[in-house]
This record gives sequence, structure tokens and C-alpha cells, in this order.
Amino acid sequence: MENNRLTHFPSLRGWLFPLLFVALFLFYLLLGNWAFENGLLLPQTLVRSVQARAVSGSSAISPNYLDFHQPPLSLLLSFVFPENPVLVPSFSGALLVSLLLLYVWRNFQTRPLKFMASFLLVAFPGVLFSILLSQDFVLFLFLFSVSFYFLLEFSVEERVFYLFMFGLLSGFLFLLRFETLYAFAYLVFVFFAFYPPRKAFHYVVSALFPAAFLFLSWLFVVWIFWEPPAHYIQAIWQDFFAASWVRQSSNHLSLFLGLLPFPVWYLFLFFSLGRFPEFFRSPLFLILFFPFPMVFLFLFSGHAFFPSTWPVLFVFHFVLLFPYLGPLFNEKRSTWLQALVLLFLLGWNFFSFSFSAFPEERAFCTFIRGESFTSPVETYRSLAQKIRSDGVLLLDLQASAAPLFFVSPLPEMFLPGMDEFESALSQPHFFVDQVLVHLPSDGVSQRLDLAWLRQEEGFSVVSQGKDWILWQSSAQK
Amino acid sequence: MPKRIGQILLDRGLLSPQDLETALKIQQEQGGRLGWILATLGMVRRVDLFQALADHYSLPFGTPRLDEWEQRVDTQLLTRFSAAELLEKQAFPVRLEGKTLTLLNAYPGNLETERFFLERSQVEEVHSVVITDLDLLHLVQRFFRQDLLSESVTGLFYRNPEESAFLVFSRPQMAWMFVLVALVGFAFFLAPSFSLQFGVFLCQFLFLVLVGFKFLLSVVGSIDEIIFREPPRSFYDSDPEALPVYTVLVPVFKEPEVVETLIQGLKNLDYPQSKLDVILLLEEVDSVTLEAAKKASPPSNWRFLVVPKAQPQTKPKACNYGLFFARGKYLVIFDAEDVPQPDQLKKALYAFENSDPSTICFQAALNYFNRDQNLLTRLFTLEYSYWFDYMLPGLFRLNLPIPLGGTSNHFKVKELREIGGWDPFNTTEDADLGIRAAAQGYRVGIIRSTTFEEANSQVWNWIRQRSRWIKGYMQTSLVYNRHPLRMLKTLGWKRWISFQLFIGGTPLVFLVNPILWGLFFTWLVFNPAWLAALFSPWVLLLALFNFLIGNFLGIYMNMLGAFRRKFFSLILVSILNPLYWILHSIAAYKGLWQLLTRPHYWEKTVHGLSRGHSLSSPEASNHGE
Repeated sequence: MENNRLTHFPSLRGWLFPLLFVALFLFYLLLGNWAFENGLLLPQTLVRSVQARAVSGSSAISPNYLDFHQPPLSLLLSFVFPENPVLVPSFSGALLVSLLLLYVWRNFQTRPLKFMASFLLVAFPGVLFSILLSQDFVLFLFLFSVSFYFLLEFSVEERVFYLFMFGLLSGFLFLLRFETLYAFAYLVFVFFAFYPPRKAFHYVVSALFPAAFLFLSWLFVVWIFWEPPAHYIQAIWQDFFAASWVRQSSNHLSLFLGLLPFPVWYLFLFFSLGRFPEFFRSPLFLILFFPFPMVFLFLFSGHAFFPSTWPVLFVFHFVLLFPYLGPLFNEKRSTWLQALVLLFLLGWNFFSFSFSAFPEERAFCTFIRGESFTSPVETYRSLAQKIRSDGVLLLDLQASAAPLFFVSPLPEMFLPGMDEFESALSQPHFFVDQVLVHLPSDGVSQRLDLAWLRQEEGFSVVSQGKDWILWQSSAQK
Repeated sequence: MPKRIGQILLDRGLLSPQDLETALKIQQEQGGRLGWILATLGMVRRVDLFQALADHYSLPFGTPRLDEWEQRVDTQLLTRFSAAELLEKQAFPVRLEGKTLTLLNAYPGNLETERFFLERSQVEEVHSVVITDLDLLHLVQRFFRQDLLSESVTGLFYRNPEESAFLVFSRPQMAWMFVLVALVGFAFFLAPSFSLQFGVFLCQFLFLVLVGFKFLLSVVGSIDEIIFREPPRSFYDSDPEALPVYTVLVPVFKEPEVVETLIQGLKNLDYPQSKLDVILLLEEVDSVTLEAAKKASPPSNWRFLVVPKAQPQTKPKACNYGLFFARGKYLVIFDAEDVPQPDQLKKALYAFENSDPSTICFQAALNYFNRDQNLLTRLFTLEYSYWFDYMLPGLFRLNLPIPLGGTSNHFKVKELREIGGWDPFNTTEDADLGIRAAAQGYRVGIIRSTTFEEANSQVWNWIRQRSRWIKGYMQTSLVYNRHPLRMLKTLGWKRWISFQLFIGGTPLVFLVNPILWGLFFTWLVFNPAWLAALFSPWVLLLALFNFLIGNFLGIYMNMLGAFRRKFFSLILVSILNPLYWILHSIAAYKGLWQLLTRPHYWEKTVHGLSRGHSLSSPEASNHGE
């Protein structure tokens, strides 16, 4: 076999990889724990952690506890160290970044670019935010980047191994985020654009079989334990649109700001590659272009992402793709220019964090500057102080789980869907000590007359905020 | 100065000047003996060649009166020689007369041979009479018939009974099984529900381990596609004279219809014909194939060996018999209907020359030329594509024991003889040999060249064949578990576990599969209370994982096997694989039954069911290995 490979997969042998991995893991773990201690957490992390703890303490895996409309891998992830949400992202983040660093050192040609790309991977605010705060986003990044690398290799060499790895990893990616479906649509387009229809069809079948099979398997599990597959599919589609483009319109400016430099940079790349018309006729071109349609597709699908964090995908994408493009636009000639661009991207990302529409992103920006900030989960923490571990609690865990993150051990709970729920609603003072309601409406407040609760049932409000009311009974059950 | 062979044949009008010129040209290009080149090209008859050889050396020619020579053989004198020695020297002692030994010689002019017989017979003179090499074979087979047969059938058993499947269960194994059955019975008596739960958990856990192991092998096997290095072009152009003699063993039984294809396939091999030693192994009772083979008038480098009738009448017995007569430094087994890729021998040779000296064998990939015949052949092709393109390379890269496939195994002859050849009592003698090689410290490698065979196209015929294979796996597992600790010490942990999972685990999975599937579907459809108790949440999770992910991986690997071979029409067929696994389970139960009732019975596979199905697509024959 002729050795015509453009890139080299990072070597995992020797001491460098484990050393790098351990160092990064410790770094992320320490930083993450520090952030955790200071209350820098995402509300959805709290929700998942509580739901996982609730399920672990229960004898049944029931939809009363979990939102089964979440993709299965994302659900599963919640169960790994639910008490400490920093461990898993630190691990997968360290794995991803160390692999990418080795990739850069092995495949980039010039020292300034090697240095800048490495610096970008370690210090890019979006990367840090993902690893420290966003459990499933970092896994998403990991799977996306590695599967993307294999797709690139396949597009160049057409070896089955690459397709096999891409298929497997993208299958898992789909189980992590159903929205990946849109990426697959793009992929189908790429295959049919560059290969004869029959070949493209077989490529598509082989590449997407894992995603299809794994999804059908999940539907099968859902069907056995919870609900008919048709209901499930309908529900997840509704979820997609529930948080759609319109709902997220307030984030558009942030998103625009966050992504602004990337189209410019890509345009520059395209111009640089203009001397190679064959590049524009190769799958590499559409793959390079990939993140842009992804942004829009994900936006329309209601993907809950952070505007300043999203550019991480572009950065990883570029790092992976660069060794393929480098030989085309002469990496050595434009080294300094490229390095400056990377530096600019880093600075821009930092800037976009400070102006983000999301309080979590702004808090993170303040945190990395070493300044004091208001924790995005402060409300939950203060509410949690009032919740009694030893009192039976009536709540809708799907909507009101977050405050319970700070309550240990979890109190006994009556939830919508449980046999006792209806009885608890009709005669709360017999069954529960506390009622937690998420405003404007959740599964409890929709059914319970709050005025009646106070007057007839002897419950009083012990904590009330913009979105929450906690009621407690004077007599303990 | 004696006349040259070519000149003698020309003078007698047995050879045309054009043919001589052609043969001389080939000799110049490829080296080798002129007479042999003429014979292999069919330009002269073997008998004429040896007659000319006799004239060349001014010796009498004994072939026309071979019967008389046979009458005169002193059997007492033969006891001083072994059949192997006579075959090596290509000469046969007839009798002593005073200080003179009369020697029937198929390789006259070799001083070393004469010296050997002078010393061994303690005579002063050797009187050589030229006979053909086939006459020599005939004599050796006739006068050493019993020795050869014993060696072929019981050679391994007498040398190393522990490695022979002649005995199905050893006494300690019987005792252990008795203890195990008693323990299980006792456990069921004491706590039936818990025991059943534990049994289900154990099976599921075993499944999980096997799924993980096969996944690992597949990943490593698929990496092999990237890191594998083909022989450089220069190797193919290297001096043919330097190439060693390669023996090709072809065991056939009642397959007269495939002889023509076989001859054509072997003629296509990219290896100098004069360096090929082709041995067609025929059973004594199978006169039909022998006649067909004679009628096809194969080249002179072919030999027909008639394996004497004896039980067990198995392929490994025939192979052992053939091994005895092999002249090559290397040897390969092909089935009669095989179509090997032309470069296979050279690839194997390159692999031998560039591998660890402990590598005893290289296995080429097998695949099917009639894959599009029906659904069964499609599924069979998927299985083989996965097995030979992913699993075996995975085992090889991880340095784990490799069970050999039925044909296209390339051996070092000397080492093969040392480890005792094939076990005629094992119904997957090939897999057994691979494990025995590992147990004796040898390695088995993989080469990227494919032999196309005929896929079994009838369900019952397939079940018969597969039941034999699965029975063989059970036999192999039993043989190498007679002394598990000794085996562990020899192989080391990694290889030992791999052996247990691969050889022992495979039949076990096929046996347990229908039970677990049955339980699962009963639970799913009827959900009886007693069954729900068997599946605690963790076991249920494990069962679901195995059921879904195990099936997914099985199907996907097969899909990619087809993809790699560019058998695009089979990609979607792979989804039907679970049906194929049901057939495996049926075959496994049949194999188990036979292990207990007829352990050495060889279920003969009927070949030739694919008439009219030639190589399915042109790319298959030169798939980018």
C-alpha cells in the first residue's frame, strides 16, 4: 500500500498521551471544582443530576423521574457521578483536548501555528466553558470531532475502517443529540453530490446504519417500557420546535457576534484555495463548509446551545481540517497570518462571552477574569435551604428538580404519574409536608388550587421567588 | 559426452523444435530443469521424459517392466529404510545381489543418493534402473501402505495422545462435568429461582464479554486494512530460479465435475509450474474422480495419490497422507472447487520470508464465487467476508491464536510435520491445527489474497456442514482443555482467554442463543410472573444491551465486510443476519448431538450445487487486497 495519507492519527503509545491527558484532566477537574464551589453551574446540569439521584434511589426507572424525551446517551450520562457533575466533562474534555493537541503537534507543519493552535485548544473560552459546565456538549464535541476526522479520512482514502468509525461515532452522536439528524441530511447531500448515485446510496446506508439501528433500538426500549414509538417521535419533534428559532430570537445578536469572525475567516480560506479548482469539486470543500449549515439547522431545530460556546465547533473543525488544507494554500507561507487570525479568534470569543445574552456565559466570563459574580443557580441554592430532607415533598420533578440538587439526602417525593399523586393532590395535608411549585405552571400548580392549599390544608409559603413557591405544612407526616 | 535430454527427445521425434525452443526460453527466464518444464507444459509424456533420462545416463529404463521389478522386491531389505527417506531420495531399493544393490531410481545422476544407499546397505556398488516418479510413488504406496496409513490416521494420537480428538472426553473432564452437573442440580434443588436467575445472568455476562471481544477484534482487524503492507512490486519480478518448490495438496472425494475447474485454477497461479508440486488426494473408493482426473490429462507436475481405505475417512487423514509425499518447502491446501487469486503463493512466500521465524502458517482469505445464487449464499458470503477480513486479521494483530480456515492454509512443511499434521479425528482439523500451532509456540499469520470457493446453497446441506464445524470447535475446545493450566502456562493469559472465548465461546453462544431469545420473547409477549422474576433490573438491562447492541454490531460488521469487498448488493442483506444465526443454533444442537453419539463422523458437504454460477463479478477476482 502506498503511504499517501495526509494526516496521522495521534499516537496513543508512549508517555506523552497519558501525561498530557492526566495533566489536562487534573487541570479541568481543579478548575471545574472551583467553579462548582462558587456556584458556576448550569441549571440543566442540576436538573439531570437530581433526576439521576432520584432514579438511583427508586426501584423503577420511570418517566415520573426522568424526561425520556431526552436522547438516551444524554440520559445515561446523567447517571455517571450525579453528585459531582465536573468529573465526566473533565474526563471527556481532557481526552478530547489531549487527542487534538497530539493531532496538532503531529500534523501541523510550522511551529508558530502549532503553538497557536495548541493555545487555542487549551485557552479558548468556549472550550473551557464546554468542559467545565456543559456535560453533554463536551461529549458532543468529542464525538463530533472524532467522527468528523474519520469522515475526512474516508473522503480522502475511502477505506472502510474510517467509514466504520464514523458510522459508530455518529450513531452515538445521534443518541446524544437527536438534532444530529440534520447533520446527517447534510451528509447525504455531500455523498450524493460527489459520488455516483449507486455508490452514494451504499455509502449513506453504511454510514448511517448505526444511527438508524441505535435509534430504532431506543424506540424499541421506549415501546417496551413507556409509550408507543409514534407518541415518542411526536413528542421529541414537539420538543424540537418548542425551543425553536422564534423562541430563541433574543439570542440572535449574541450568536451573530459570537460567530462573526468565522465566515470572514472561511472566506479568506476559500480565496486562498481559489487556485485549486479541484478542491471545490472534492468532498473536502463541502465538509469545510459543514459548520455553517449546521448552525442554521440546529437553530431551526431548537437546539439549546450557548451562542459564545458554539464557535468551539468551528475551532475544532478547523484544527482537524487544517492538515488537509495546509498543503493546498502553503501553510509555511501564511504561517504568521494564520497564527494572528487564531489569536484574534481567541480574543473575539472572550469578548463575545462578556456580551452574551446568557447569564451563564457572562458569569463564566467574570469567573475566568477572577472577579466575583452572581451564581446562575443562586436562586435554587437559597430555595434549597428551606427544603427539608425529612419531609415528604409534592412536586413535578420534570419542571422543579433544580433546587433539589442542593438537598441531601433527597426527600421522599410524590410526583405526577405516581399512584399516590392524585390522592396527594386531593388531600395534601395527609400525604405531604412540602409542596414545590415552578411558575407559571407545572404539573402540580396546574392541578392544585394554591389558595385552597393555604386556607384549607394548613400550608404556608416559606419561600417565594420570581419563578418558585415553596409551601410547607406546620405538622410533619 | 552424453546427449542432452532435449536432443534425445528431438532425435526420437517426441518433441518438436518449436516446443524445445519455447521450453528453453522458459528455462532461461524462470530457471528449472528442462525435462520438468517440458513435462509440466505437456510437451512430452512423462514416460518419454524418463526414458530419455535413462538414455542420457546410459541406464536401463524400468517402467515398462515395473510389475517384474515389484515381484523382485526384497521386503526384508526395505525394513532398513523409511518411506520418507525413499521419497526424499526418489529411489527404491529392490534387492541385494552380492555386493551390489539394485536401485529403482527416479532421480538418476544424483551422487548423494547413491552414497546414501551404499552406506545404508553396506554394499560396494549400486546398480540403478530408471523409473518414473509416479512409479516410485506407486512402489512406496504399495510396500509402505500400512505404515503410511497408520501414520496418517494414528500418527498424532500415538505421538501425542493429549492433542488428538480420538478420545472425546478425558477422565478428569468426565469427573469435572459430573461434579458440575451435581452442583447445578444441588443448587436448583436448594434455590431454584436464584439458580435460574444466576444462570441467566451468567449467560448474559458471557454474551457481553463475547460481544466486547468480537468488537475489539473487529476494530483491530479493520485497522489492519490501513497498516497492512503489500509485497513490493520487485518481489514479483524476483528470480524464479530462487523460488522454492511449493506443494499444493488438493483432497477430493466424489467430485469428478470440478476437476477441470481445478486444473484451470491452478494453472493460473503466478508461480513457475516447474516449481509446483501438485498432489491430488483421492480416496480408494472414489474411482469416478480418479478417472475424471486422468481424463483431464493434467500437467506432469501433478501427482495422484490414492489414499487407502480406512476409518476415519476424513479430509485430514487424506491431507496427512499427502503431507508424507510433499516435496515442497511450503505447502498449501486447496479444495477441489477453489479458485485462488493468482498471486497467492507469492504473497504467502513473501509473508514467510518477512515474518517471525516462528510463523508456521499463513491463512489466505476465503470468499465465495456464487454469492448471488440465493439468500443463503449471500448470508454465507457476508459471514466469510467478516470472518476473514476482520476477525482473523484482528486475532493476528493482537497475536492471539488463530483457528485456520478449511483451505488456503500455507504451511512450512518441516514444521508442519514436526507438530504432527492434521488430526483426522477432529472434524475441524484446520481450526485444531491453528490452536495446536499456538500451543506449541508457533504463530499463524494472515495474507491478503483470496480464494474463491463455492458457498453452500442448500439449507440442509449448510446445516450438515456447519454442524461438523461446530462439533469440531467443541472437540478442539475439549482437547485443549484437558490440561487447562498447562495450556494457560504455554499460551499466557491473553491468548488463553482468547482461545476460550473464540473456540469454546462460539458454540456455546449458538447453543444458548435460542434459549435466551425464547425467554426474552416470552417475557415480552406474555410477561409471566415467573419469568419477570428472572430478569432483575440489572439482568434486564444487560439482556437488552446484548440483544440490541450485540445484534447491531453483528449486523454492522457484516455490512462493512460486504462494503470492504465492494459486494454492494449484500449490504442490505446483512440486516437479515439474525435469521442466519438461527440456522447456526440448529447446527450447533446437531453438532452437540453428534459429539455425543458419533464424534468422529465427517458430515460430507455436497459441492457442485452452484452450476452456472461463475465468479460473481469481475472486481471480486482482483479485489484490492
